[in-house]
Amino acid sequence: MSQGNVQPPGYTEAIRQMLAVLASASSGDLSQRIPVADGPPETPEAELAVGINTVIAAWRDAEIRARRAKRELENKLGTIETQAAAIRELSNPIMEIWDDTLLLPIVGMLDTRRSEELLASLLDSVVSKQAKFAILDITGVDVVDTKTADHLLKVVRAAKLLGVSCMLTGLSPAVAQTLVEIGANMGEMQTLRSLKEALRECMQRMRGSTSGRSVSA
Amino acid sequence: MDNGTEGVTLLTGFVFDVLQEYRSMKKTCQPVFDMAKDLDPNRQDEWCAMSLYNDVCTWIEQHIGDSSIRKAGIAIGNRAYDNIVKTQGMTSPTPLAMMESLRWAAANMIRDPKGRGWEIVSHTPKTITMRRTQTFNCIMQEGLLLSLIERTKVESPDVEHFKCTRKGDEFCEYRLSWL
Repeated sequence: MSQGNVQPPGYTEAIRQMLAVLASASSGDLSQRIPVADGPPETPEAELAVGINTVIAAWRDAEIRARRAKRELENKLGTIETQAAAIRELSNPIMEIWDDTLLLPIVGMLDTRRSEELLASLLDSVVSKQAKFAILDITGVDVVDTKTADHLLKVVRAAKLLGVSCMLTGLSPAVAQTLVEIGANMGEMQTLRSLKEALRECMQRMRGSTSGRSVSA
Repeated sequence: MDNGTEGVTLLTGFVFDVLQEYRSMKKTCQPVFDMAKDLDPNRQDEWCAMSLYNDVCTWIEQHIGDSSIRKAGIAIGNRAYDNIVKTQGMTSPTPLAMMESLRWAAANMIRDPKGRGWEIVSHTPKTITMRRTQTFNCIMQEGLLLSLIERTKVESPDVEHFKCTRKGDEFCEYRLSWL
């Protein structure tokens, strides 16, 4: 070894301590610190030790903040999911408005998930209430696209398999125009101008009448 | 991993533990309450199929969300901690002692002909790596493990679910750490 490489006493031990603390930190233990003497560091390795301790302390503080934020975020997400489920529940109310007749007022966007839930709720209600008619009122639906039309048709087809006649009411002129423009095949669904007309149709059919004022079907 | 649940049974208390977290949402979660309709809430020491428990957890995860089932796991873990400490007469258990007790409790409360359950893969003074060798809702386990180590009063506990059978790993593995 040349004279220029001679290490001061304690140098190797200091490096060993630093490596041990860094190894602990890299394995997740941020509580270890390199022993340093009080007062300003007198050697480069002592200065390095102070620097490493400072970095690990800052790392630990950042990790504490990150973990706290993660926990809060997860907690909030859990709450949001619960609230979303409750909102979905409220957004698909099904009412028995007359003998054998269910009303499903649909408000807002009808996406795939919601339409699946709507379908499941409707089929459950059809079975439990022994319904023969279901009126889907879309007065509260502003936008209807091909997908929405498909979802509605799926609901109608599934209900039909259980012996239920579905009627669609509450189409706004804009929605009707969109359905024509996109070429949605609504032929399987009876559409009526208003809820009142749909209810009248149900009553007539219940009385054995086949007359109705269907726009299509 | 052998994911089969054939012949695996667990105490019905596990199922009621999950349902308890969704009591206030009973209407929304009616399908899971229907799944458990044949279980007697007054006989939570009876045994039921593991597949039923998994079906309940899967429905909640898919229909309510994974954060919700993780949060339920935290609440369940809190009750599990109280039970473990009480039944095993522990005072101020360390995270490692708690994980050993969890392994023991799971082995005794879940009957698996293949002997699967929890394993402690490794541990350091500030970390424990746990492996689940049995099919169980792995997201809920994140919450359960988190609350079990949190209750040991360590600082800033965290659970990292770094291996998952859903991502193609052989087992789910969790790195528990605290600062």
